[in-house]
Amino acid sequence: MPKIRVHERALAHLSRGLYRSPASALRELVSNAWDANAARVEIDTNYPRFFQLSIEDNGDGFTREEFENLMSGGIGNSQKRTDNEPLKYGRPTIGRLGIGMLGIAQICGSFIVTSTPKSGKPFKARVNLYDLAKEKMDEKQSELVHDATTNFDGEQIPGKIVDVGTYEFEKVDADAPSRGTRILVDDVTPIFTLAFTESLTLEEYKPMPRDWRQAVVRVLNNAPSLQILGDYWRLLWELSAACPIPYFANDALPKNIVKERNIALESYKFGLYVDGRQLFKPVLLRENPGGYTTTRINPGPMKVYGKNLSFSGYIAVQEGLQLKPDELRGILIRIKNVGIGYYDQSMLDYRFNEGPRTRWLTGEIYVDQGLEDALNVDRDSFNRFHPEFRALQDHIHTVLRNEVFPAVYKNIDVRSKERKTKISTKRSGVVKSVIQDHDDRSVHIVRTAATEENEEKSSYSSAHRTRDSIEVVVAKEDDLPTGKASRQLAQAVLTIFEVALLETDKAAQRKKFSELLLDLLKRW
Amino acid sequence: MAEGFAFEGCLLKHYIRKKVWLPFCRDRLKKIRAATKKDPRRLRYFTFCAVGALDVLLLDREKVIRKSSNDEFDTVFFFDKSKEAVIETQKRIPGANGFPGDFAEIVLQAADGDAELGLHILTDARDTREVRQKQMRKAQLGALIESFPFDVVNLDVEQYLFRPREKLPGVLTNAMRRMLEWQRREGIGSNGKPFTLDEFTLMFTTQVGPTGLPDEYMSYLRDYCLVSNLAAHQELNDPFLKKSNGKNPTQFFQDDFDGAFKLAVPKGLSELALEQDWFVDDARGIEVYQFDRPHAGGTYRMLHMVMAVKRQAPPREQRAPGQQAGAALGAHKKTIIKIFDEDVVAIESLVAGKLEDELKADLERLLEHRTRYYPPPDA
Repeated sequence: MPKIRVHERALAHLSRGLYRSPASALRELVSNAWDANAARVEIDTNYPRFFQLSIEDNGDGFTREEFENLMSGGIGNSQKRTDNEPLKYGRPTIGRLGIGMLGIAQICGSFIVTSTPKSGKPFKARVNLYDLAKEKMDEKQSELVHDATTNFDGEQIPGKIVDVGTYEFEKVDADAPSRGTRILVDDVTPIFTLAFTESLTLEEYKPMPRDWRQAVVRVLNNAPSLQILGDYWRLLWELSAACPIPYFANDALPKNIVKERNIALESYKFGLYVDGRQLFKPVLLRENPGGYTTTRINPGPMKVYGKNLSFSGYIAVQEGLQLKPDELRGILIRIKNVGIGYYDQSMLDYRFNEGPRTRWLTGEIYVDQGLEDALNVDRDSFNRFHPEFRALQDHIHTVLRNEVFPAVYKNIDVRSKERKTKISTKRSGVVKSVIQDHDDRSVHIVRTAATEENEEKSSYSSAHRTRDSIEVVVAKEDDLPTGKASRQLAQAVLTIFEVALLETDKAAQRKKFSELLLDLLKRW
Repeated sequence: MAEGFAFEGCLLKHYIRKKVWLPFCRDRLKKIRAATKKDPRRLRYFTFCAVGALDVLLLDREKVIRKSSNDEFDTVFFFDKSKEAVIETQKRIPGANGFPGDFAEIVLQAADGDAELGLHILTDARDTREVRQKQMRKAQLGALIESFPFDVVNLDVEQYLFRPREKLPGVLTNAMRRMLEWQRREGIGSNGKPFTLDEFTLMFTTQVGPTGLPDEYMSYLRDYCLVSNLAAHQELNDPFLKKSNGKNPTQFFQDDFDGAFKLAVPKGLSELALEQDWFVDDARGIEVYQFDRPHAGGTYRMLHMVMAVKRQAPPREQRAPGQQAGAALGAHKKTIIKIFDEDVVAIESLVAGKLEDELKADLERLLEHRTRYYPPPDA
């Protein structure tokens, strides 16, 4: 039977353009460091110049031979790390989500790898990726394409391999990491440098505090979007959102909704530093006057076409107040603690229109098992027709429809009533204080219910003045034949009208009424 | 993470930092403050850092270098010995402007013309490594030129000023020429206001040597740096003869290269300043310190020179071609007489007893201070 194949050139293109942003490429290297048992990963961007970029970890490192195997084996051909050797601190293995080290090719033409393995000698190698490789690959008789055979379960399968670059070993100098791996990108594309340096000159750019928590509280939680803060802020935000690092604290979100997750993340003892700042997840929801509604998501393990799918997470709603920055809105899916793409503002294509309330919502779903097959080639999004994604989507949508938004609407009603009561109480006091400010006497306002007797009269309000006090009798709000929204104002106007009528002549009455009315409206 | 820097524990070097550089920098800061009383600007510092940015951190601890409101060393600009060292140094002085390229190579590109400095998207050139690297070198040059002028320039290059394989007068000398030229630029201070320098502090460090310099270098040092001046200024002859024990320059270079080098280099620096419309302030002249540093390849001698450099008045643009300002020439002569008159300070003999203990304790405090910005990874 004829076989259907994917052309090797199409796959080779991936080596030079897989990710949407530098943060996605770096996320891949941070994940490698996690799997290499590193306790600390340091990314240095050469801020504020951005002439080079480096990422260094203190993990297990790898040997020259392992490096050679990785380079000659073809991108994407390396096997996922097996679970035979468990990671330190009980970390779940992330494995290969993208194309690993070569992902950095997104922003450079060459880089230097220096690694000092747990056992064995350190090595240093420069990796040079071919210039204009995509064009060369597409030539009919490309010199980059070679015949090759792959051994698969003992069977030799003919195929092709595409060269994407070369590497050469260099002398290891005193600057080699004492343990772990460093990737130094000294050939960053000028556009990277240009974009990042320009981002520091944007009108809305804010200098980034040395302390990441301060950066989140002072700037990010007040910025409408990351776009106005520029690429440097975006890089740090995206990295902090995507990498498997802890929250600022167990109570970074209301009602301790991430407490257990944060305890687990802290127990993995994995620190990410960018330009000297230790990053934490950029979520800190506190002090919203309207409070927060939180919903836990924990459906238990599922089976989807025979495969296991398990996930848990939360949805938090900042009642009555749009989340800032915009990029925090929506739902972020994490696979093995690593964020895939960004917070999805469509909430996984949620079909109902919830109006502005969707801007109050943020959530994270931690997928501990499954969903990797649903990842798209950009490693930043999912195939929306993959059954595992569909199962997760259905569950989230059910929770949103049946739990989250009903609770939100209920809270809106409660808040609305509270707000009206508060305003009403305040306005009742306003009428009294307006009258008092225009007369030294004490003021008593009596609100009476309608009776048969006074209903016969066209008006049943009145006012009396003694030497020390003014007493005004007006109808209760609910008895006034006006629209509901204007009843309180109507009652207030009738009250001041009665007070004005106490003046002796029409001119004085008119003057008094005008003064009281204008003052009332000013304070209403 | 990378191992600690070598030579960090050297007390002789710390003597230079604490007892030589620091007072000069304090003096410089005082002058900046006096000149910008109402709206003071912060001191701008250019350095060849190395050794874990201890020079910057000392000035930070002593409040000579002030960080931005954002706690960044934004007025510090540095080159380092390697790209990896730039990363390590930046961790220790966050927010400082680190240039990962080769200093002299970047500076001397300026000779090709400054027309296309800075980064932009190219229209016709293809996206190849060669093109990218050229763009980035130009971008580094553009960023470097823009960052001038500096109140303190610390060229702690720790290498030979003259390298036999280089064409006379050597790339470093030519790079310094450029720097002195850029020091005349108008800059923008930390207070947001434009400024130009009337004076600045120059600190220059080099190894004595190498021995066996080719004839052209020897004659450059001998004839350009000594003989021509001795011929032009009779009053320099006596101090020189005193220094050379009555020998003429040729004999002196043959018999005592070390001694002759220590006269020729500071004198050459003074000449260079004059050539670029500056002059060395004769009040303190050029202070020269030396110490020997043991090394696997044999002991070598470090020479540290420190001086205040002033702008000539009137400036070049207001003088006849080829003329130097009278006051500048006078100061230059006095500076040279001082170089001939005064002995180089050998600091090994000073760093002993109580002073040694004091420096040791201070260096420990400084290393502790450094952890404020970059705690050791294993802490």
